[in-house]
Amino acid sequence: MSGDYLWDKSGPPDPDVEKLEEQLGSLRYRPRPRPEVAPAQTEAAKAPAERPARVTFLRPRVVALACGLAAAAALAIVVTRRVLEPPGAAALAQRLGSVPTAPWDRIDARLRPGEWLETNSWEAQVAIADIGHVQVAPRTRIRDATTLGGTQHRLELAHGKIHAKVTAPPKVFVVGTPAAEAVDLGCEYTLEVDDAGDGYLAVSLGWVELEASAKRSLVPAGARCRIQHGFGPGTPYFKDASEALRGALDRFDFHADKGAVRTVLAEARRRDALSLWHLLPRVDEATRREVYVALKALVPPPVGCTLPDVIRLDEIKLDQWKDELAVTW
Amino acid sequence: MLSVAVPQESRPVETDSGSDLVEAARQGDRRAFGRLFEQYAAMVHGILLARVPARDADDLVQDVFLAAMQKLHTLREAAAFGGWLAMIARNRVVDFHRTRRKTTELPDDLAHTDPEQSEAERVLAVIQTLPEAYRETLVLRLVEGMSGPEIAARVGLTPESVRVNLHRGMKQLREKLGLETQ
Repeated sequence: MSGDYLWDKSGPPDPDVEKLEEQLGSLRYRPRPRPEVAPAQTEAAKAPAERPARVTFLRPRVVALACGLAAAAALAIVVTRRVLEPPGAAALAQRLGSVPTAPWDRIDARLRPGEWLETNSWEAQVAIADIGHVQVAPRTRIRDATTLGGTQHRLELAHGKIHAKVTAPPKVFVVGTPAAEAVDLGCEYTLEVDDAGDGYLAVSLGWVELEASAKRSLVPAGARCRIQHGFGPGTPYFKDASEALRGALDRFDFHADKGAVRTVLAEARRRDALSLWHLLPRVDEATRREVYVALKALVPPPVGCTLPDVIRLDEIKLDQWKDELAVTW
Repeated sequence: MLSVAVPQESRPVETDSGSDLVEAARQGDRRAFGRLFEQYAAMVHGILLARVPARDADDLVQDVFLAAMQKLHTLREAAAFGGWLAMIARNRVVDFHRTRRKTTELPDDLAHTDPEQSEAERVLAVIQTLPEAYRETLVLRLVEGMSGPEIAARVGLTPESVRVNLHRGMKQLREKLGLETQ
């Protein structure tokens, strides 16, 4: 001890320092009190009339069996950080009884059908039955869009970013965005949408199908696909594709630059057959011939898949070719 | 049908050593990060309080730790966690002042202002006029109740610097508050 009260609180107290300590003590950091959080189940039990169609918690096998059955009820949210901001936040926070006060805090709750979850500077985790979960990034707005009697688990992503890990039969989990629907085919992926409804999908495992009206993009692991409000999904490409190819796809998909296809064909590696195959139904007949030739040079079509089949966009034949191509992805 | 799934529990923390906690937190251990929060929240609060209104400091503490959690992988030396965290807090203050509204919001409980709280905020306002190095150490000492050696260890400064800052800062504070004990 040095006898220096200001330095290490040793020795006789300095009256000024003591007085200031006393005055300023009221500003000292205090962990926020945490009101009791009513567990979702308890709350639901208290108000059965308001309870969303009750999902009795399904075991994995039951989930698999139930995939074709009613996809009623609530997404479970495990909020790992402070959840919500008004106005949507207020209602949920009030219903839950509290919001977490620290980054690692967690409350288990259930998102009711139709209910919005909007993260501010915090993240949340949404569990999807026993088939997976979705990490919800800060500043993201999602809604449980599952409908009673529906056959799918559905989320609506208004804006922000989610990372989904799903182990379910194909087409059981769907995320809607303003630009396109992401249909899970058993995979892990990141989906981001900005305030204008534009964004991208990046798949890290398995496959995801993007759909918007008549447009469809199949995105395998390692590939990305841009989505744009009003245009739907663009042409998927592998992340390691050349910058020129990616830029050309962007111009073709979202800026009506038909000539950009030539750049795509010139830049395409064997692996980029993914992009070329997707271009077939998106180009006019003359260009389709060029794409066919380029694609055939990269990965020959299966026996029986001919130029006329491709020109008339024979779905079965195109799917067969895609299966051949997929080996290279 | 959608139902609750509880995430797996993280690996338990086996030690409270600062560096071990940082390493564990870096591996994604939320409980370890929780311990770090407990150990460093007052320091962060003090650093913020030296620069922002008291009513904003609590929220900013949360922001700082969230940012730290997201950036933890960028920290090279676990032992430098305190100084690194202090830097995040100071940077958060810069963002706060850059983005805050020009107007001042009235507190919700204006009609029930606590006289002691008002006095505390008056003194704090005076401290906030001192040079930056002094105000931070003074707030950590006088508000958060940390000792000089503790401040040095947490913030990552040398004890000599903290000691000098404390004494020079206290001298200026006495003058500004009209205290004449010493």
